[in-house]
Amino acid sequence: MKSKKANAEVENLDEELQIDEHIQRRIGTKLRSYYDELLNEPIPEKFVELLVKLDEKERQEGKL
Amino acid sequence: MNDRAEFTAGLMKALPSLRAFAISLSGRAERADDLVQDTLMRAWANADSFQPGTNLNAWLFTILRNLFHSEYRKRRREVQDEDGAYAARLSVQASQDAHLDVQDFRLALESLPPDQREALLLVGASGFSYEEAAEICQCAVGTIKSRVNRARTKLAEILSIDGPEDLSADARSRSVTAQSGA
Repeated sequence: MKSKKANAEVENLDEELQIDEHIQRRIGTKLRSYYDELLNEPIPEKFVELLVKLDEKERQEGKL
Repeated sequence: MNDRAEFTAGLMKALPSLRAFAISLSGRAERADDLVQDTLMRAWANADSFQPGTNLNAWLFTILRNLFHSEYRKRRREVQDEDGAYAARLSVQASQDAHLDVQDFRLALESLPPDQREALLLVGASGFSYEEAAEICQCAVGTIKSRVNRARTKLAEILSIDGPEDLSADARSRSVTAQSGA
């Protein structure tokens, strides 16, 4: 169990490290538009093929 | 039977976010695809150790992250020269790309220390809670919080995002001490 003192220290640390809300929001927006581009990229066929192959192999081996 | 079919469907569904995380972590699309492929193989081989009903995405991200870090340690010396080449390639891409803002952000993200980058990606982009991110990174929740904060502060500096100066040098040095003890 954490002591009250340790918890207080963590909270103080968070407060000191807390950056301006306005900056945080702008970085969040930039991060999400960067990430959304990646999420919307087409998934290489090979991954889907790999999963289908693994699945079929398992079926053939009679595990399913 | 249904468990395995559900598991496969879960892997399919996780592909875009696994790949986005892998690209952001490694900074190299080819390497990211190797990472995703290795993650799928490992996940499949260890499917029995996954508890149905628990967070499949967090489980998969943990596998990917561990693979990345063991690779990273192994390849560290080999890739030291690649960073400069990568930055140069990016700036070429950037001139061909309308999304200059996104390219700038990518470069800034790439310049963060890996532990801060992954913490920010997990919490700020991949939708994990601080607690889940701490589990994925096998560290304390407070450590994740300070890594995320430091990543945001660094990005604000690099991208010249203006705002009140909240982070004194004193607070920064104390946070470093706190983290090394975490």
